[in-house]
Amino acid sequence: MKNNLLRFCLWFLLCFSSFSMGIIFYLVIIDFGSFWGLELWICRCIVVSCAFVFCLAVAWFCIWRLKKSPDRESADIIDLNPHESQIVPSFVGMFVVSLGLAAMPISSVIAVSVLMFLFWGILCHTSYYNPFFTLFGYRFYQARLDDVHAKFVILITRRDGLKNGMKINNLRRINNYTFMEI
Amino acid sequence: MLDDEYRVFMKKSGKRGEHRLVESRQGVNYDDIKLFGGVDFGALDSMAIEFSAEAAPEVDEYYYIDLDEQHSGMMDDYIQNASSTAGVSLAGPDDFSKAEVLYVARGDGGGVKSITFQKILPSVKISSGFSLFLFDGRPEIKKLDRSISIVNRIDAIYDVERKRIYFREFSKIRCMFDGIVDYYRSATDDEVRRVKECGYLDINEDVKVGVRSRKIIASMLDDRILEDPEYSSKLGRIFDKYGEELELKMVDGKIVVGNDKELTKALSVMIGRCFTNEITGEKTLAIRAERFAPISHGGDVPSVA
Repeated sequence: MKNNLLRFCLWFLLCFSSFSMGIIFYLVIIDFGSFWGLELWICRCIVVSCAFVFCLAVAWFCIWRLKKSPDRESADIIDLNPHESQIVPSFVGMFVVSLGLAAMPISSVIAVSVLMFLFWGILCHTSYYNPFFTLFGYRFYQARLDDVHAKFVILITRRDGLKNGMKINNLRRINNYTFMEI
Repeated sequence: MLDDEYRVFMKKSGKRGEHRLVESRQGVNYDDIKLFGGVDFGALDSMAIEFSAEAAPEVDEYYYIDLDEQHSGMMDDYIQNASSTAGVSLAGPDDFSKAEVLYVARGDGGGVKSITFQKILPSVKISSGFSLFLFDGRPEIKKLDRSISIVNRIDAIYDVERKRIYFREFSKIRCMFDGIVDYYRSATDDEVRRVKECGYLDINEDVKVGVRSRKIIASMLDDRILEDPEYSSKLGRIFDKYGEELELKMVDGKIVVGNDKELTKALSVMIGRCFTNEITGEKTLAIRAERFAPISHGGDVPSVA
Protein backbone atom coordinates (compact mmCIF):
# COMPACT_ATOMS: atom_id res chain seq x y z
CA MET A 1 0.00 0.00 0.00
CA LYS A 2 2.76 2.39 1.00
CA ASN A 3 4.79 1.43 -2.06
CA ASN A 4 1.81 2.03 -4.32
CA LEU A 5 1.34 5.49 -2.81
CA LEU A 6 5.02 6.31 -3.30
CA ARG A 7 4.86 5.07 -6.89
CA PHE A 8 1.79 7.21 -7.54
CA CYS A 9 3.47 10.28 -6.01
CA LEU A 10 6.54 9.77 -8.19
CA TRP A 11 4.39 9.30 -11.29
CA PHE A 12 2.45 12.48 -10.42
CA LEU A 13 5.64 14.48 -9.95
CA LEU A 14 7.09 13.16 -13.21
CA CYS A 15 3.91 14.19 -15.03
CA PHE A 16 3.93 17.59 -13.34
CA SER A 17 7.58 18.10 -14.15
CA SER A 18 6.98 17.23 -17.78
CA PHE A 19 3.93 19.52 -17.87
CA SER A 20 5.49 22.40 -15.95
CA MET A 21 7.16 24.07 -18.95
CA GLY A 22 3.63 24.95 -20.10
CA ILE A 23 2.92 26.61 -16.74
CA ILE A 24 6.10 28.68 -17.00
CA PHE A 25 5.14 29.74 -20.47
CA TYR A 26 1.72 30.78 -19.21
CA LEU A 27 3.32 32.83 -16.42
CA VAL A 28 5.47 34.64 -19.00
CA ILE A 29 2.47 35.98 -20.89
CA ILE A 30 -0.17 36.69 -18.24
CA ASP A 31 -0.49 40.08 -16.61
CA PHE A 32 -0.53 39.64 -12.82
CA GLY A 33 0.37 43.22 -11.90
CA SER A 34 3.34 44.57 -9.95
CA PHE A 35 4.29 44.08 -6.30
CA TRP A 36 6.70 45.57 -3.75
CA GLY A 37 6.64 48.78 -5.84
CA LEU A 38 8.80 47.16 -8.54
CA GLU A 39 8.53 47.55 -12.27
CA LEU A 40 6.11 45.10 -13.94
CA TRP A 41 8.84 43.41 -16.02
CA ILE A 42 10.96 42.89 -12.88
CA CYS A 43 7.98 41.32 -11.06
CA ARG A 44 7.39 39.06 -14.04
CA CYS A 45 11.06 38.03 -14.05
CA ILE A 46 10.93 37.24 -10.33
CA VAL A 47 7.75 35.13 -10.63
CA VAL A 48 8.92 33.25 -13.71
CA SER A 49 12.37 32.68 -12.19
CA CYS A 50 10.87 31.35 -8.96
CA ALA A 51 8.55 29.05 -10.95
CA PHE A 52 11.47 27.90 -13.08
CA VAL A 53 13.63 27.12 -10.06
CA PHE A 54 10.73 25.28 -8.42
CA CYS A 55 10.11 23.18 -11.55
CA LEU A 56 13.84 22.51 -11.85
CA ALA A 57 13.84 21.34 -8.23
CA VAL A 58 10.90 19.03 -8.93
CA ALA A 59 12.75 17.58 -11.93
CA TRP A 60 15.89 17.12 -9.83
CA PHE A 61 13.84 15.41 -7.11
CA CYS A 62 12.32 13.06 -9.71
CA ILE A 63 15.78 12.08 -10.96
CA TRP A 64 17.01 11.63 -7.39
CA ARG A 65 13.98 9.47 -6.54
CA LEU A 66 14.49 7.36 -9.67
CA LYS A 67 18.12 6.87 -8.64
CA LYS A 68 16.95 5.66 -5.25
CA SER A 69 14.56 3.14 -6.79
CA PRO A 70 15.72 -0.41 -5.94
CA ASP A 71 14.67 -1.81 -9.31
CA ARG A 72 17.52 -2.08 -11.74
CA GLU A 73 16.75 -3.03 -15.30
CA SER A 74 18.58 -3.58 -18.57
CA ALA A 75 18.01 -3.43 -22.30
CA ASP A 76 19.56 -4.97 -25.39
CA ILE A 77 19.52 -2.14 -27.92
CA ILE A 78 19.53 -2.87 -31.63
CA ASP A 79 18.96 0.58 -33.02
CA LEU A 80 19.05 4.15 -31.60
CA ASN A 81 17.71 7.45 -32.89
CA PRO A 82 17.43 10.89 -31.23
CA HIS A 83 13.89 11.38 -29.99
CA GLU A 84 13.68 15.14 -29.34
CA SER A 85 12.55 16.03 -32.85
CA GLN A 86 9.50 13.80 -32.54
CA ILE A 87 8.36 15.32 -29.28
CA VAL A 88 8.65 19.00 -30.31
CA PRO A 89 5.18 19.17 -31.98
CA SER A 90 3.50 18.09 -28.73
CA PHE A 91 5.24 20.84 -26.79
CA VAL A 92 4.53 23.46 -29.44
CA GLY A 93 0.86 22.46 -29.15
CA MET A 94 1.00 22.89 -25.40
CA PHE A 95 2.61 26.33 -25.69
CA VAL A 96 -0.05 27.46 -28.17
CA VAL A 97 -2.78 26.41 -25.75
CA SER A 98 -0.92 28.27 -22.96
CA LEU A 99 -0.91 31.42 -25.11
CA GLY A 100 -4.66 31.13 -25.58
CA LEU A 101 -5.22 30.80 -21.84
CA ALA A 102 -3.98 34.36 -21.23
CA ALA A 103 -7.22 35.83 -22.56
CA MET A 104 -9.49 33.56 -20.49
CA PRO A 105 -11.02 34.15 -17.06
CA ILE A 106 -9.21 32.38 -14.21
CA SER A 107 -11.99 29.76 -13.74
CA SER A 108 -11.60 28.71 -17.37
CA VAL A 109 -7.82 28.68 -17.04
CA ILE A 110 -8.08 26.30 -14.08
CA ALA A 111 -10.58 24.04 -15.87
CA VAL A 112 -8.54 23.88 -19.09
CA SER A 113 -5.30 23.36 -17.15
CA VAL A 114 -6.76 20.48 -15.17
CA LEU A 115 -8.07 18.85 -18.34
CA MET A 116 -4.73 19.34 -20.09
CA PHE A 117 -2.89 17.88 -17.12
CA LEU A 118 -5.16 14.83 -17.09
CA PHE A 119 -4.54 14.37 -20.80
CA TRP A 120 -0.82 14.80 -20.19
CA GLY A 121 -1.00 12.22 -17.41
CA ILE A 122 -2.60 9.70 -19.75
CA LEU A 123 0.15 10.32 -22.30
CA CYS A 124 2.75 9.79 -19.60
CA HIS A 125 1.62 6.17 -19.29
CA THR A 126 2.99 5.33 -22.71
CA SER A 127 5.45 8.07 -23.56
CA TYR A 128 7.53 10.57 -21.63
CA TYR A 129 9.46 13.72 -22.35
CA ASN A 130 10.74 16.23 -19.84
CA PRO A 131 12.53 19.36 -21.08
CA PHE A 132 14.01 19.93 -17.61
CA PHE A 133 15.89 16.64 -17.84
CA THR A 134 17.81 18.05 -20.79
CA LEU A 135 19.06 20.84 -18.49
CA PHE A 136 20.65 18.12 -16.34
CA GLY A 137 22.44 16.79 -19.39
CA TYR A 138 20.08 13.96 -20.30
CA ARG A 139 19.21 13.19 -23.90
CA PHE A 140 16.23 11.33 -25.26
CA TYR A 141 16.56 8.47 -27.72
CA GLN A 142 14.13 6.17 -29.41
CA ALA A 143 15.58 2.67 -29.10
CA ARG A 144 14.58 -0.54 -30.82
CA LEU A 145 15.01 -3.53 -28.55
CA ASP A 146 16.11 -7.07 -29.37
CA ASP A 147 14.25 -9.23 -31.87
CA VAL A 148 12.49 -11.32 -29.22
CA HIS A 149 10.77 -8.25 -27.82
CA ALA A 150 10.62 -6.29 -31.09
CA LYS A 151 9.58 -3.14 -29.26
CA PHE A 152 10.48 0.54 -29.35
CA VAL A 153 11.23 2.35 -26.10
CA ILE A 154 12.37 5.84 -25.14
CA LEU A 155 15.78 5.85 -23.54
CA ILE A 156 16.89 8.78 -21.40
CA THR A 157 20.61 8.85 -20.81
CA ARG A 158 23.54 11.17 -20.20
CA ARG A 159 25.99 8.79 -21.76
CA ASP A 160 27.95 9.78 -24.87
CA GLY A 161 29.00 7.35 -27.53
CA LEU A 162 25.94 5.16 -27.57
CA LYS A 163 26.12 2.53 -30.26
CA ASN A 164 23.68 0.22 -31.94
CA GLY A 165 23.80 -3.31 -30.60
CA MET A 166 24.96 -2.39 -27.11
CA LYS A 167 23.56 -3.58 -23.80
CA ILE A 168 22.55 -0.92 -21.28
CA ASN A 169 22.28 -1.79 -17.61
CA ASN A 170 21.25 0.25 -14.63
CA LEU A 171 18.01 1.49 -16.12
CA ARG A 172 15.05 2.81 -14.16
CA ARG A 173 11.53 2.40 -15.46
CA ILE A 174 9.38 5.52 -15.84
CA ASN A 175 6.66 3.67 -17.70
CA ASN A 176 6.58 0.51 -19.80
CA TYR A 177 8.00 2.40 -22.77
CA THR A 178 10.39 4.86 -21.13
CA PHE A 179 13.61 4.04 -19.29
CA MET A 180 16.21 6.26 -17.75
CA GLU A 181 19.85 5.31 -17.38
CA ILE A 182 21.12 6.39 -13.98
CA MET B 1 23.34 -9.78 -14.58
CA LEU B 2 25.31 -9.44 -11.39
CA ASP B 3 25.82 -12.25 -8.85
CA ASP B 4 23.45 -10.82 -6.30
CA GLU B 5 20.89 -9.61 -8.80
CA TYR B 6 17.60 -11.36 -9.41
CA ARG B 7 14.69 -10.69 -11.69
CA VAL B 8 11.20 -11.96 -11.03
CA PHE B 9 8.69 -12.40 -13.80
CA MET B 10 5.34 -14.02 -14.27
CA LYS B 11 3.93 -15.68 -17.34
CA LYS B 12 0.27 -15.41 -18.14
CA SER B 13 -1.87 -18.26 -19.36
CA GLY B 14 -3.36 -18.25 -22.84
CA LYS B 15 -2.05 -18.75 -26.33
CA ARG B 16 0.02 -15.57 -26.32
CA GLY B 17 1.55 -16.46 -22.97
CA GLU B 18 2.61 -12.89 -22.23
CA HIS B 19 5.33 -12.23 -19.67
CA ARG B 20 5.29 -9.52 -17.01
CA LEU B 21 8.07 -8.12 -14.85
CA VAL B 22 7.40 -8.31 -11.11
CA GLU B 23 10.68 -7.12 -9.65
CA SER B 24 14.28 -6.57 -10.75
CA ARG B 25 16.56 -5.95 -7.81
CA GLN B 26 20.01 -6.34 -6.46
CA GLY B 27 21.35 -7.29 -3.08
CA VAL B 28 18.05 -8.27 -1.47
CA ASN B 29 18.32 -11.52 0.42
CA TYR B 30 15.36 -13.81 -0.18
CA ASP B 31 17.53 -16.93 -0.09
CA ASP B 32 15.29 -18.61 2.47
CA ILE B 33 12.66 -18.84 -0.27
CA LYS B 34 13.71 -21.70 -2.53
CA LEU B 35 12.51 -19.99 -5.69
CA PHE B 36 14.90 -17.08 -5.08
CA GLY B 37 17.87 -19.06 -3.78
CA GLY B 38 20.96 -19.77 -5.82
CA VAL B 39 21.20 -23.10 -7.63
CA ASP B 40 24.10 -25.51 -7.09
CA PHE B 41 24.03 -27.44 -10.34
CA GLY B 42 26.68 -29.86 -9.16
CA ALA B 43 24.53 -30.97 -6.24
CA LEU B 44 21.46 -30.99 -8.46
CA ASP B 45 23.14 -33.29 -10.98
CA SER B 46 23.91 -35.80 -8.26
CA MET B 47 20.22 -36.24 -7.53
CA ALA B 48 18.83 -36.00 -11.04
CA ILE B 49 17.92 -38.71 -13.53
CA GLU B 50 17.33 -38.33 -17.22
CA PHE B 51 13.67 -38.05 -18.03
CA SER B 52 11.96 -41.00 -19.62
CA ALA B 53 8.23 -41.37 -19.79
CA GLU B 54 8.06 -44.50 -17.66
CA ALA B 55 10.65 -43.53 -15.08
CA ALA B 56 9.59 -42.50 -11.59
CA PRO B 57 11.93 -40.36 -9.48
CA GLU B 58 12.40 -40.82 -5.75
CA VAL B 59 11.15 -38.19 -3.31
CA ASP B 60 14.24 -35.96 -3.45
CA GLU B 61 15.17 -36.67 -7.04
CA TYR B 62 14.73 -34.51 -10.12
CA TYR B 63 14.26 -35.43 -13.73
CA TYR B 64 16.29 -33.59 -16.28
CA ILE B 65 15.91 -32.99 -19.99
CA ASP B 66 18.74 -31.75 -22.19
CA LEU B 67 17.12 -29.55 -24.80
CA ASP B 68 18.27 -30.12 -28.35
CA GLU B 69 18.72 -27.36 -30.92
CA GLN B 70 15.19 -27.85 -32.17
CA HIS B 71 13.66 -27.31 -28.74
CA SER B 72 16.00 -24.83 -27.06
CA GLY B 73 14.00 -22.01 -28.66
CA MET B 74 11.25 -22.59 -26.10
CA MET B 75 13.52 -20.87 -23.55
CA ASP B 76 14.31 -17.80 -25.67
CA ASP B 77 11.54 -15.66 -24.16
CA TYR B 78 12.61 -16.47 -20.62
CA ILE B 79 16.28 -15.79 -21.23
CA GLN B 80 15.75 -12.65 -23.28
CA ASN B 81 13.31 -11.25 -20.71
CA ALA B 82 15.88 -11.76 -18.00
CA SER B 83 18.59 -10.21 -20.13
CA SER B 84 16.57 -7.22 -21.34
CA THR B 85 13.80 -6.34 -18.91
CA ALA B 86 12.97 -3.16 -20.83
CA GLY B 87 11.05 -5.28 -23.29
CA VAL B 88 8.68 -6.60 -20.63
CA SER B 89 5.79 -4.62 -19.21
CA LEU B 90 5.32 -4.35 -15.46
CA ALA B 91 2.76 -6.68 -13.88
CA GLY B 92 -0.47 -4.91 -13.03
CA PRO B 93 -3.72 -5.74 -11.23
CA ASP B 94 -5.30 -6.99 -14.47
CA ASP B 95 -2.64 -9.69 -14.80
CA PHE B 96 -3.59 -11.36 -11.54
CA SER B 97 -6.31 -13.67 -12.83
CA LYS B 98 -4.21 -15.04 -15.69
CA ALA B 99 -0.94 -15.45 -13.80
CA GLU B 100 0.22 -19.00 -14.43
CA VAL B 101 3.95 -19.23 -13.81
CA LEU B 102 6.32 -17.30 -11.59
CA TYR B 103 10.00 -17.40 -12.51
CA VAL B 104 13.18 -15.94 -11.13
CA ALA B 105 16.33 -15.35 -13.19
CA ARG B 106 19.73 -15.06 -11.58
CA GLY B 107 23.04 -14.06 -13.11
CA ASP B 108 26.67 -14.99 -12.64
CA GLY B 109 28.28 -11.62 -13.28
CA GLY B 110 27.80 -11.98 -17.01
CA GLY B 111 24.65 -13.31 -18.58
CA VAL B 112 21.75 -15.24 -17.10
CA LYS B 113 22.92 -18.32 -15.21
CA SER B 114 19.78 -20.01 -13.96
CA ILE B 115 16.03 -19.62 -14.03
CA THR B 116 13.80 -21.18 -11.39
CA PHE B 117 10.12 -21.72 -12.01
CA GLN B 118 7.03 -22.15 -9.88
CA LYS B 119 3.61 -22.93 -11.24
CA ILE B 120 0.94 -20.69 -9.75
CA LEU B 121 -1.85 -22.97 -8.62
CA PRO B 122 -5.34 -21.55 -8.03
CA SER B 123 -4.96 -22.34 -4.33
CA VAL B 124 -2.20 -19.73 -3.88
CA LYS B 125 -4.18 -16.91 -5.44
CA ILE B 126 -5.86 -14.71 -2.88
CA SER B 127 -8.77 -12.90 -4.47
CA SER B 128 -10.17 -9.55 -3.52
CA GLY B 129 -11.85 -9.33 -0.13
CA PHE B 130 -9.81 -12.00 1.61
CA SER B 131 -8.75 -11.00 5.11
CA LEU B 132 -5.90 -12.27 7.23
CA PHE B 133 -4.80 -12.06 10.83
CA LEU B 134 -1.17 -11.02 10.96
CA PHE B 135 0.70 -11.86 14.13
CA ASP B 136 3.85 -9.90 13.32
CA GLY B 137 3.76 -7.55 16.27
CA ARG B 138 0.26 -6.48 17.23
CA PRO B 139 -2.40 -8.75 15.66
CA GLU B 140 -4.56 -7.07 13.09
CA ILE B 141 -6.84 -7.87 10.22
CA LYS B 142 -5.57 -6.94 6.79
CA LYS B 143 -7.33 -7.03 3.52
CA LEU B 144 -5.34 -8.50 0.66
CA ASP B 145 -6.50 -7.71 -2.82
CA ARG B 146 -5.42 -9.87 -5.71
CA SER B 147 -2.32 -11.39 -4.15
CA ILE B 148 -0.30 -14.47 -4.99
CA SER B 149 1.35 -16.44 -2.24
CA ILE B 150 4.85 -17.68 -3.12
CA VAL B 151 5.16 -21.29 -2.04
CA ASN B 152 8.51 -22.59 -0.82
CA ARG B 153 8.86 -24.99 -3.71
CA ILE B 154 10.59 -25.11 -7.09
CA ASP B 155 8.82 -26.82 -9.98
CA ALA B 156 11.57 -26.45 -12.54
CA ILE B 157 15.11 -25.16 -12.88
CA TYR B 158 16.81 -24.23 -16.12
CA ASP B 159 20.57 -24.32 -16.51
CA VAL B 160 21.11 -21.74 -19.24
CA GLU B 161 24.66 -22.78 -20.10
CA ARG B 162 23.92 -26.48 -20.55
CA LYS B 163 20.36 -26.01 -21.82
CA ARG B 164 19.11 -28.47 -19.23
CA ILE B 165 15.72 -28.40 -17.52
CA TYR B 166 15.35 -30.02 -14.11
CA PHE B 167 11.88 -30.78 -12.79
CA ARG B 168 9.87 -33.15 -10.63
CA GLU B 169 6.42 -33.37 -12.18
CA PHE B 170 5.94 -33.23 -15.89
CA SER B 171 2.33 -32.10 -15.49
CA LYS B 172 3.50 -28.91 -13.78
CA ILE B 173 6.02 -27.89 -16.43
CA ARG B 174 3.77 -28.65 -19.38
CA CYS B 175 2.29 -25.14 -19.31
CA MET B 176 5.70 -23.50 -18.87
CA PHE B 177 7.53 -24.65 -21.96
CA ASP B 178 5.99 -24.82 -25.42
CA GLY B 179 7.08 -28.03 -27.11
CA ILE B 180 8.21 -29.84 -23.98
CA VAL B 181 5.48 -32.42 -24.63
CA ASP B 182 7.70 -33.70 -27.44
CA TYR B 183 9.83 -35.25 -24.70
CA TYR B 184 6.85 -36.94 -23.10
CA ARG B 185 5.66 -40.17 -24.58
CA SER B 186 2.43 -41.88 -23.61
CA ALA B 187 0.76 -44.57 -25.69
CA THR B 188 -2.24 -43.65 -27.80
CA ASP B 189 -5.47 -45.72 -27.72
CA ASP B 190 -4.42 -47.34 -30.96
CA GLU B 191 -1.04 -48.32 -29.51
CA VAL B 192 -2.75 -49.71 -26.41
CA ARG B 193 -5.02 -51.80 -28.64
CA ARG B 194 -1.99 -53.09 -30.58
CA VAL B 195 -0.31 -54.29 -27.39
CA LYS B 196 -3.54 -55.82 -26.10
CA GLU B 197 -3.83 -57.76 -29.34
CA CYS B 198 -0.15 -58.68 -29.60
CA GLY B 199 -0.85 -62.21 -28.43
CA TYR B 200 1.11 -62.06 -25.19
CA LEU B 201 -1.64 -60.72 -22.94
CA ASP B 202 -5.00 -62.07 -21.90
CA ILE B 203 -6.64 -58.99 -20.39
CA ASN B 204 -9.94 -58.87 -18.55
CA GLU B 205 -12.25 -56.35 -20.23
CA ASP B 206 -12.71 -54.41 -16.97
CA VAL B 207 -9.02 -53.57 -16.69
CA LYS B 208 -8.29 -49.89 -17.32
CA VAL B 209 -5.00 -48.89 -18.87
CA GLY B 210 -3.63 -46.17 -16.60
CA VAL B 211 -1.04 -43.46 -17.20
CA ARG B 212 1.87 -45.56 -15.99
CA SER B 213 0.88 -48.51 -18.16
CA ARG B 214 0.54 -46.25 -21.17
CA LYS B 215 4.06 -44.93 -20.59
CA ILE B 216 5.42 -48.49 -20.46
CA ILE B 217 3.52 -49.44 -23.61
CA ALA B 218 4.94 -46.39 -25.40
CA SER B 219 8.44 -47.34 -24.31
CA MET B 220 7.86 -50.94 -25.40
CA LEU B 221 6.73 -49.90 -28.88
CA ASP B 222 9.48 -47.29 -29.29
CA ASP B 223 12.08 -49.95 -28.50
CA ARG B 224 10.35 -52.37 -30.90
CA ILE B 225 10.66 -55.11 -28.33
CA LEU B 226 7.70 -57.11 -29.67
CA GLU B 227 9.29 -57.30 -33.12
CA ASP B 228 12.00 -59.64 -31.84
CA PRO B 229 11.37 -63.04 -33.50
CA GLU B 230 12.54 -64.79 -30.35
CA TYR B 231 10.42 -62.63 -28.04
CA SER B 232 7.91 -65.41 -27.26
CA SER B 233 10.59 -67.83 -26.12
CA LYS B 234 12.37 -65.11 -24.13
CA LEU B 235 9.14 -64.24 -22.33
CA GLY B 236 8.58 -67.94 -21.61
CA ARG B 237 12.07 -68.22 -20.10
CA ILE B 238 11.37 -65.25 -17.84
CA PHE B 239 8.27 -66.96 -16.53
CA ASP B 240 10.12 -70.21 -15.97
CA LYS B 241 12.69 -68.33 -13.94
CA TYR B 242 10.59 -65.72 -12.16
CA GLY B 243 7.01 -67.00 -12.46
CA GLU B 244 6.60 -67.94 -8.82
CA GLU B 245 7.70 -64.54 -7.52
CA LEU B 246 5.73 -62.55 -10.07
CA GLU B 247 2.38 -63.82 -8.87
CA LEU B 248 1.20 -63.72 -12.46
CA LYS B 249 -0.20 -66.56 -14.49
CA MET B 250 0.72 -67.52 -18.01
CA VAL B 251 -1.75 -69.60 -19.98
CA ASP B 252 -0.98 -70.72 -23.53
CA GLY B 253 1.87 -68.22 -23.76
CA LYS B 254 -0.33 -65.32 -22.62
CA ILE B 255 0.01 -63.44 -19.35
CA VAL B 256 -3.36 -63.38 -17.59
CA VAL B 257 -4.24 -59.89 -16.35
CA GLY B 258 -7.20 -59.47 -14.01
CA ASN B 259 -6.71 -55.94 -12.68
CA ASP B 260 -4.85 -52.68 -13.23
CA LYS B 261 -2.00 -53.59 -10.89
CA GLU B 262 -1.37 -56.87 -12.68
CA LEU B 263 -1.33 -55.05 -16.00
CA THR B 264 1.44 -52.72 -14.88
CA LYS B 265 3.38 -55.68 -13.52
CA ALA B 266 2.83 -57.72 -16.69
CA LEU B 267 3.99 -54.85 -18.90
CA SER B 268 7.07 -54.37 -16.71
CA VAL B 269 7.85 -58.03 -17.22
CA MET B 270 7.30 -57.74 -20.96
CA ILE B 271 9.92 -54.99 -21.27
CA GLY B 272 12.46 -57.03 -19.36
CA ARG B 273 12.44 -55.59 -15.92
CA CYS B 274 12.99 -58.97 -14.19
CA PHE B 275 16.53 -59.67 -13.13
CA THR B 276 18.60 -61.33 -10.46
CA ASN B 277 20.61 -59.02 -8.27
CA GLU B 278 24.23 -60.05 -8.74
CA ILE B 279 25.20 -58.96 -5.25
CA THR B 280 22.37 -60.36 -3.17
CA GLY B 281 21.13 -63.01 -5.57
CA GLU B 282 17.57 -61.83 -5.08
CA LYS B 283 15.06 -62.07 -7.86
CA THR B 284 13.86 -58.54 -8.57
CA LEU B 285 11.28 -56.64 -10.60
CA ALA B 286 12.61 -53.13 -11.26
CA ILE B 287 10.19 -50.23 -11.05
CA ARG B 288 12.56 -48.05 -13.01
CA ALA B 289 15.60 -48.61 -15.19
CA GLU B 290 18.22 -46.34 -16.65
CA ARG B 291 19.96 -47.29 -19.87
CA PHE B 292 23.69 -47.01 -20.27
CA ALA B 293 23.27 -46.50 -24.02
CA PRO B 294 20.31 -46.14 -26.36
CA ILE B 295 18.96 -49.23 -28.09
CA SER B 296 20.12 -49.64 -31.66
CA HIS B 297 17.45 -50.78 -34.09
CA GLY B 298 19.90 -51.37 -36.91
CA GLY B 299 20.87 -54.90 -35.93
CA ASP B 300 19.75 -57.53 -33.49
CA VAL B 301 17.10 -56.71 -30.94
CA PRO B 302 18.71 -56.94 -27.51
CA SER B 303 17.86 -59.57 -25.01
CA VAL B 304 14.92 -58.76 -22.72
CA ALA B 305 16.00 -60.86 -19.78
